[in-house]
Amino acid sequence: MTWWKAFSQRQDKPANQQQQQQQQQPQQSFKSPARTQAPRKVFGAPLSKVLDYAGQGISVNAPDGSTYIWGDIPIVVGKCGAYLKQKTDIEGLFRVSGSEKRMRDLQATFDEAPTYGGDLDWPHTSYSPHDIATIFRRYLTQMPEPVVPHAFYDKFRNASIHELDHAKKLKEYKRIIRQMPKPNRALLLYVLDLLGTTAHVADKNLMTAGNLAVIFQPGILHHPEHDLRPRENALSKDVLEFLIENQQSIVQSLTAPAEVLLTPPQETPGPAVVQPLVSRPKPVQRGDSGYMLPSDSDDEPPPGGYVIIESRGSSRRERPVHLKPPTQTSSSKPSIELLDPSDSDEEAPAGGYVVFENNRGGASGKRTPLGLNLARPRTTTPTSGHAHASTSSPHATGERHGAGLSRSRTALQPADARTNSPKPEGGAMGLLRRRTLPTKRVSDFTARVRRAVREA
Amino acid sequence: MRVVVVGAGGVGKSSLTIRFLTSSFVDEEYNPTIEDSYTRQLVVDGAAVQLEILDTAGQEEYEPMADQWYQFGRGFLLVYSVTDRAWFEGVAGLLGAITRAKLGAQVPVVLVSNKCDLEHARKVSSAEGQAAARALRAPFVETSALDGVNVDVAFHELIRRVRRAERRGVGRPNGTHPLTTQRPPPKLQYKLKTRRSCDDGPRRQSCFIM
Repeated sequence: MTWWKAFSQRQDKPANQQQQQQQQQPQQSFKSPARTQAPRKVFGAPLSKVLDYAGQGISVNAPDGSTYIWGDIPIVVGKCGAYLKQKTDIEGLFRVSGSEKRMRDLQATFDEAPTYGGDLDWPHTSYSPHDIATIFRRYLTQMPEPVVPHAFYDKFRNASIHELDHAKKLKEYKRIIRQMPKPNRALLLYVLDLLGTTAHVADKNLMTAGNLAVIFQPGILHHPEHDLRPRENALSKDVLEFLIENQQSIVQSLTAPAEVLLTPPQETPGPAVVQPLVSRPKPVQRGDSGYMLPSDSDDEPPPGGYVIIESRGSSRRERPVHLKPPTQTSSSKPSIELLDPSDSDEEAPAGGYVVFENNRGGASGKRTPLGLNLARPRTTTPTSGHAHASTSSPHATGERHGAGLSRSRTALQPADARTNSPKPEGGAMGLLRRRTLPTKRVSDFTARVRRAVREA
Repeated sequence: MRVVVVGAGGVGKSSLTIRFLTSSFVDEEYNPTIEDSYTRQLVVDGAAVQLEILDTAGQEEYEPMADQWYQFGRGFLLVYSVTDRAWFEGVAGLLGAITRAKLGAQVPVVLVSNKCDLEHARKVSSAEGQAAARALRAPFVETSALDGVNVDVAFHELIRRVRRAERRGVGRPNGTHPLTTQRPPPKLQYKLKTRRSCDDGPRRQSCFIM
């Protein structure tokens, strides 16, 4: 755990966060007097802070077998997300709530140092998918700032974007997302990826992109000033729905540092990148501690599919993660075979995205059964995990790819998911009207349904 | 008369509401509601009533709006589904939240156990529902929005309850029930709240009789 500690302390924090931390430390230190870092909460804590002590990396497997970590997400998101991706066919996933009792328990697990739920082994717990889905939602909702920071709220909802045609709109959103702070961007892309997967099987789970957008809008694209304004929320919902429907293209473009590796880097920086990227994306070999940044070159998707891997961050124990893909075999096909190049920005990659967990540099140094210690430990943290990770065999990646393809979403197009007609605004404005207009009388005892006529 | 349909996500709040309003079940839709409001005029016990129904979101994400809903409503349909215990367990907490929003006033509620057509998937028995209703001092109605069983009964019972509560408010100094008065401008809200809590006494007692 020493490397992890070193890492936690190394992180640069904004001054105010450091203050908060100092305030928290005295009151919590009695819980673990041996630790210099007092345990901190995950739920309700600022994202960048949570990533310090309860984060895990997300890696991308490029077709050439190399692995990139392109971002960090909180363990709670990675844990729940990885599980939920296996359960996307459950009806009403994310919509129905779980058991409050069990969720309290689960939330406490994710809030608890030192593993912050990193060692949860879903098959051996009694949590239902709805419990886990609700906790996932709850984490996002309870973040002090939504996934899309308030500074970007207006950019996402900018009316001029909505007048653009589909391709331009998509490009514009990619541009905006690229400008987002790194932690938020990674989280947004990860959540979009999960929601896209869920919406793709909407015929089974009935959760279309529109439905998911309604539920996730408060956690992702939301502003406190618009809390009680259904009209504003409806706009945010439409934006989110668009993002979910097109997540394949968005995630593909923005998590693809390897496009620089595989194609000659094009020196056409994206327009108006506010947040200067720290360094040019560069290929990272497995176990390398370099940090991959999303490409800032252009919107072209990478020539091959990428596999998103999560690697477990600060978990102390190593355990086989249940996320073994169902049809995993020992065949170690070269991954490149399995990935159809997609040549257009809008086209879905054949490989799809597969997220799985990877124990990052566990203290024990044992390999997971899946041989997945591909990811290096966190950025610039020289650790035992680092050295260990470097020893991963190249075959492990190929295996992973093979497994990934077997349950990948092929040709995910927004059109084939049951696109839900957006809820008519009139209904959502019910309360708004109530305030401003007297209720109109309705004659003949017929119901007057304020929302638009339902197409039965 | 303003009533609000509350309950966890996916228990069938909107289905109940639409079944009541249109006598039909919308099977094709599976859209989470954020907030929908409907009006309908009907006759209950020989007296006409202008009913405003507010259909709400069950997801906790929309909790910031909940206070507004609770303030809006004079009566509440507390809906759970027999197919999941989690929803059933949440009902008491929901009533607690409503009561808090009403500053401790006893509000007219009807406990509705929906989806009773799904007998094979039943996780909450009628007896449990009845026991919960007794604990909440609310009438208990088992409904099925799909088959239209007891849906009208539930709404009518709620209307009766609200009427009874309103009748008790008639003798108040200002002649109106505090909860039916128009929302004051924000500045005055605190004042009203104080007044409201003062008025709770007699009504709370009377509700025991109900």
